[in-house]
Formats: sequence, C-alpha cells, structure tokens
Amino acid sequence: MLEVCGVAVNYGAVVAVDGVDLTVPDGEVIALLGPSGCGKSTLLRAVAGLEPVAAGRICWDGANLAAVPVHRRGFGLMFQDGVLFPHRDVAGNIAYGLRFTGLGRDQAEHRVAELLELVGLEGYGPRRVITLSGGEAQRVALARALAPRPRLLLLDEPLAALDRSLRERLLADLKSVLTTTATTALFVTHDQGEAFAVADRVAVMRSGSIRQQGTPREVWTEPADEWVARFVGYTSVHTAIGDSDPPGARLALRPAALVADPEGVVHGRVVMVAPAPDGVTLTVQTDTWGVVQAVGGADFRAGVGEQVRLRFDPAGAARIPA
Amino acid sequence: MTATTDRHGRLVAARTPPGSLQPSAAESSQRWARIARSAGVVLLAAIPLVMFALFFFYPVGSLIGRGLTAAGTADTGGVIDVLGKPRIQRIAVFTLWQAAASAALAVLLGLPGAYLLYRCSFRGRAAVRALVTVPFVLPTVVVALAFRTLFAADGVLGSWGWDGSVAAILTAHVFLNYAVVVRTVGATWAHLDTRPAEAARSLGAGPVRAFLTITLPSLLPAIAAAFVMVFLFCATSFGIMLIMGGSRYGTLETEIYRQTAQLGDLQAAAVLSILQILLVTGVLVVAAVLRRRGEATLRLRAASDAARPLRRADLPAVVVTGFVAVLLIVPMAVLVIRSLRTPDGWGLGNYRALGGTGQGNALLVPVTTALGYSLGTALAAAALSVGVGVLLSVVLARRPRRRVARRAVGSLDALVMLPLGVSAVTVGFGFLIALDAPPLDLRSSPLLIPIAQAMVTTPLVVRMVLPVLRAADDRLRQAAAVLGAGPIRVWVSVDLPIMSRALAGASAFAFAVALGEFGATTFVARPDTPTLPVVIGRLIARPGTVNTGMALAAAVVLAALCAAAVFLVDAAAGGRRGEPGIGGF
Repeated sequence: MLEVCGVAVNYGAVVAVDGVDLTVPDGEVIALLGPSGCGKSTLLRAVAGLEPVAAGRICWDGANLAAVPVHRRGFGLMFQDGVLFPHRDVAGNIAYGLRFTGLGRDQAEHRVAELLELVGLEGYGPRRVITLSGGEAQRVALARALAPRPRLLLLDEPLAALDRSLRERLLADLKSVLTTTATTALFVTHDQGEAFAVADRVAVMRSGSIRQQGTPREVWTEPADEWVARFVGYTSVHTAIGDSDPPGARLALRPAALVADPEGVVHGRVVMVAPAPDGVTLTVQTDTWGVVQAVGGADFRAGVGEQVRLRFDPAGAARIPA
Repeated sequence: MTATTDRHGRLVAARTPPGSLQPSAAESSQRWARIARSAGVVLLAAIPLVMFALFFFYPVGSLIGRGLTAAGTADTGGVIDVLGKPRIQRIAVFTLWQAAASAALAVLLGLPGAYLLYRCSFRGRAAVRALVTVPFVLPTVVVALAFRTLFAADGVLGSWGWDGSVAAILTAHVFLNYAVVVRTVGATWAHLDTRPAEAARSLGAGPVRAFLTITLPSLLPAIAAAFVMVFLFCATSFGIMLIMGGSRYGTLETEIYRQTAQLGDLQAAAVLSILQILLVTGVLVVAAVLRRRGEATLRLRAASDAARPLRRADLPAVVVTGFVAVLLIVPMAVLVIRSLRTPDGWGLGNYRALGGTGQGNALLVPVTTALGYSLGTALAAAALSVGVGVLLSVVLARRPRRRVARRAVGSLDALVMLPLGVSAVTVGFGFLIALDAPPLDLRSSPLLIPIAQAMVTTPLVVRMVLPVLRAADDRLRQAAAVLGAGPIRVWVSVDLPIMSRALAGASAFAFAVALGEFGATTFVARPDTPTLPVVIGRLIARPGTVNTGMALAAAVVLAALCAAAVFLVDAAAGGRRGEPGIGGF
C-alpha cells in the first residue's frame, strides 16, 4: 500500500505540489485527475523517486521511501509517449528490467513472450521500436513497465498522445490488463472520462493540492466544490432555489439536467442550437438561471430567438455543499 | 497577371487569377520562373566556387603538380621513394597516434565537463562556460609559447621534465580542444530527453548502469563527432608542433613545412600533402557514415527542463572539471606573469619593447606595426570569409527536389570543407609558388594574406551558420511566401534574423582565427609586412632574453585581442540566452 502524507515538491521558488495526502491500497487503481500544470505529474515523479520531496513522507507498507533510490523502489513507470529505448528492439525493451530481477535467459525470454501476448503484440519481439505505431509503442511501454512485476505501476498520461479511437480501444485493454494482473496503480490523467473508466477511486487535483477523493460515482454525485463540478463536466452552477435546499447551497447542472419540454416550468429563449448524436444541445437564456445548457430530443424544432420551456431532470444535476 | 522581377532578374511573384491566361502560357511562365530561380542559385554558388578554384585548388594543385612531376612527366618512382623513407613513415605514424591520443584525452576529460556545464545548473555556470571556451580561440602560437614557458627547464613545472615531450604536446592539444568536446557533446546532452534514463531507473537500473546502457548510447554520435573534430585539429597541428616538438617530434604538417621552407624538397612536400589530404578525407568519410547512422535515434527536447541543481553524486564530475579548469588557467597565468618579468626585474618593459624591432634587430618592423597590420588583415579576412561563407550557406541550406541538384549541393558541401583538412602550410606554400607569376601575380598585393586566411576561416563560418539555416523551420519561409514575400524578401525577413546570432559569432570567430593564423601566413607574409603570430614565431627563434620577453608580451596582447573579439560579439549578440555561437560547428 502506498501512503503519501503531506508531500510538497518545489521547482526552485515554485511550489508544484503542496501538502498532498493520498493512499493507494493494494490491488486498486487510483486516478490522479487534474488540468495540465496542476502538479499531478510532479507528484507521480516524486512517488517514483525522480523528484526530491521538500516536505512530507512517501511510504510503502509503512516504510519511508525517502532514502530509497529510484531503481530500488520496485515501481514501474510509463510515460505519455512510450519513451522506448531507441537502440533496442521490442524484446530488448521489455527485457531491460528483467536482468535486475535475477531471471535466467530462458525465463526472461518466456516472460517477454508472456507480456507481448498480454498486450496483444505476439511476435513483435524482434521489431525495431522506430517501426511501431503510437498505439503499439504504448503497448510495448506497458509491457516493459509490467515485466519486472512492479509492486506499484505509475502511469503518466499514458494515452494522451494517441488519437481518440485508438485511445478508447487502448483504455479498455489497459483496464483489463490492470485487472487481470491485479496491479496496484496510480494513473495520472487530465481526462475525466479516462479517469472514471479505469480507476477504482479518483483524486481530483488543482494547483498542487487534492480537492476531492472518492469513487467516480461520489465525485459525480457530490462534487466537493464548484471548480471540481465544472472540471468533471458540469457546465453551469447556480444558487439552489428549491424549498428543501439549505441556504447557500448550489446546484451544478449538466446539459442533461434541463430538457426541452412543452410541460416544463423553466421559461427561456433559444440562443444557440447544436446538433448532438441523440438530439440537440441548446444554449438557452432563462428567466431564473441566466444562460444555461440544455438538451432537446431529435424532434426539437424551435429556432434561435424562439421561446422554449425546460423540464428539470435531477439525474443531470448535483448539489454542491455550501 | 502580376509578375515582378527583382534586380537579379528572378521572378518574385506571379499571381495568376484563374482563367486570365491560357494554361500553356502559365506553365511556360512557371517554367521560366523555375529556371530563373535555379540560375540565381547557381550564380550565388559561382562566386565562392571561383574563389575556391583560384585561391585554393589552383595553388594547392600547382604545388602538388610541381612535386609529382619531374621535367614535365609523372614521377611515380619519386613518390614511392618519399613514402619509403623511415623518417616519413615515423612521422605519419606519430601524426596519427598523437592525434588519436589527444582526441581520446580530450573526450575523457570533456565528458564530465559537458555534463556539468550543460546538464546541471549552478551559480557561475555562464562564467565557467566562457572560461572553457577561451583556449579554443587562442592562437596556437600563443598556446605553444605558454606551455613551453610552463614546462621549460626554468619554468614553473620545469621539474617535471616535460620540456619538448609528447606529454607536453598532448597537454597543449587537450588545452586547445577541450572546448570542442564540451560544446559538441554538451549541446546534445542539454537537449537529450531524460525520460529514457528515468524509465531505466524505474526498471531497476542503478545510476551507473542507466548511464552506460541508455544515456551513453544516445550521446555516442556527438562524442564521435567531437572526437573526429579534435582528431583532425591535432592531426594537422602546426604551431604547437613547430614550437613544442622541436626537431624530435613532428606532424605531416610540420614536415611539409620543413621539406619546403628548409630543405626545398617540393616533391616530398607534395607527397606529404597528398597523404594528408587522403587521411583527412578518410576520417571525414568515416565520420559522415557514423553521423548518418546515429542521427535517427536521438530524442531531443527543450534544454531548460533538463538542467538540474548539483547533487552529491556530481562530485566526481566537479573534481575532474576543476582539474581541467586549473589546466586551462595555469598556462595562461604563467604566460602573463612571465611577460611581466624583464632582465631588470618586474615591470612593463617587455610591452614597451614592442615599439622596437628586438635584440639584434630580429625584426624588420616594430611589433606594434605588425599588430596594426595583423588587425587590418584579420578584419579583411573575416569580412571576406563571412561574405563567402554566407553565400555558401544559403546555397548549401537548400534541399532541392531534383536528384542531380541534391547531389550537386552535397558535393559542394564536401568541397568547401576540404580546406579544413588540407594543410594550411600547403595552402600558404601553394600561394607562394602559384600566385607570384602571371596570370595571377598577387605577390605584392596587400590582399594576399587576407585571402590566404579567408581560405582557412571560410569553412569554419559555413560550419557555424549552415546548421542554423538548416534547422530553421521551412514552414516559416513558406508562411512568408504565402503572405506575398518574394525569395529575397523571405531571405531578409526570415533567414537573416534566424542566423544573425550565428553570423555575429562566426564573424568574431573568423576574425580571431585569422588574427592567430600561423601556418599559411608564415609563407605568405613578407618580412616587411608580418602579422603578430609570425613576429612571435620569429622572436622565439632568435636568441636573447629581450626577444623572448617581447614574444611573451606580444603573445599576451594577441591572446587578449582574440578573446576580446569573441567575447564582445558574444555579449552583444545576447550570449546569455541559449548557446553562445562560438565553436558550435
């Protein structure tokens, strides 16, 4: 189990990570989610031992890692764009970490083949890494990181450099590989969809500190503050006006929270209509909530400037504590 | 159709509204535009080519031709004769092994320096980088004199018994070329992606193993390039060998000098020149092959995020670099201190004596006159080589689509690099025998020395400017062209600003090298119009403490001028940001 207690990392005068507490239990995948520059990659590098820690402790199973150098931590690391060793072939890359584990040549070869199969690249061993596509390179990088059976796998935006369809396919494979190998992992990403898809729990990070931790469901339904709500996909935040709401409570809305409906109680004027896969996405100037996003069915016909009525759907909204 | 031609007669812009011209007419105008543009490029290349033909190939060719023919017929027996002499064989072998040893030493000592000065950040790093660069721009005559003074029997390190030894020569070579290694390797190291090494560490490799298996292979192309560069400089070493080697040790270069200037054996000199050209070409070919193999695998990134503060593990690198820093400082300090010692005690007597012609009238003109002459000559040579070098760089930076044109550019590239490896002594002596009779009688022309020096410095200018032009994103030029800029305008508004820093550095460097040029100038300079290095050489050769003192003082003045030229330009061009432009070829 990885425990990060009050860790701070400085870059010169800049505080990149500021007093972070985080726990990664055995066998779980934790996503570290935040916008670029929030310090999530720096925190990951600190855990790997690549950045000096200015304050706090990083412990594995209770033992402080401060004096343990990178290569003795037994943590695997996977970068955004693979960072394969260009002067070694695919098998040479995957086998690199095995020679420090005391495996014999035959066993190492066997392990390399096993990993190539795991990531779906059987027979790729003798290929030069320059000839690999982006997706293949990432699969090799994953195999290389997993080969020495790390007790913790650190993934630094492993899918960010790939195009969308490839990313989705690889995300599913990554999830299944992590599950089948029961790997404990810390997964850094700026993409909430990725984080929620792959992680057991999510830690949302902003400006060097963690704003909220919880299961994807918890973060969705109970965002800790307005910033977190907006970061995970809520498009607008409003003062709650329902009778049951405590004073000061706010409501975060996704477009799906307001549905165009002739029976709806919210009145507004259409500002913009954009087609969406299952209907339209609307921007509406409302009387009560100002400009909001809303959705309409495939049969929605009103044009810009026309009046529209919206129905409130609680499934698309979350309450933010005061 | 709006078509304008610039003053070179090239079509600058030809915007044809659709349908306003017959297709055939548009096609033919496009073809003419292309031909005009090609003609412009050929014209640009013609000026340097003519210069190289007249002032490099013609003199060198004359010398070789005269040496290889006896009474108008080819004399192959003579060639074999020369190559069969034990002395020549010994010198050829010594040339090679001392160059290899010097280069190996420079690389071994330079690697920790490259790491420290380009990979780590600490206070005073800019100053140390500058200090390390100084020796490279110092004239070989000055360096040789400094080390001779240091190791002389009555010198500071006289007790080591290194006077006139191979060890002293190697030390001087390392002194001169340390910066080449530090800068060549450092520039690559600074931009090297650190993450592969980090990945190796996370996979269980210790720091040493990660360096050996991941970082070192990535640095190998740069290390090989530095090694080759130092090897070439040392294999063609003249000033150092002439002054420090005495009669015991010599390179092919000093032997060519001995055969021509002292023994008058043109045939032996010609054979040795050819031998040296073959050797240099061979090394350059091997280097090019190695470079092509290595380049594909480099991962580079911005330098700023790679440097990090010093740690305790950096101590060995600090110790080695500190040791080298002492090696760099001591000889120059000794030179300066000894220049202040006169027969009548400490003082500026030696510097005052520079107004005279030396003990027993060793010189025909006062040293101060030679100094003025040196400055004028070096300025002219720098202007000439920068002009020609820029023309060449512009042509060489082009990546033509057609295969023939690409080949032509490639051959031109190799051609202009040839003077780097051809003995400066050969060039100088070729000047002497080829340019003193019609059709080209320049013997009494004041341009003779600048032209000879420009032949030596032009390849250096090209090596500094060309990479910058080649590295420039071609889309910048395309963007300018799309916005309506013609070829000349594109060049002035895109290429010129991009290469301005390198150009400033190259000018200063060309000036410093021309100021200290010794090999070719020794031949070309007439006794009544000598340059400072020639004067120093003459003063050392003459007996008398006054002459020695004057040589030391003149060497200090020369060193100061070279260093100042380079630093002023470097500072003016904003040396603080990024790479100083010196020695980065």
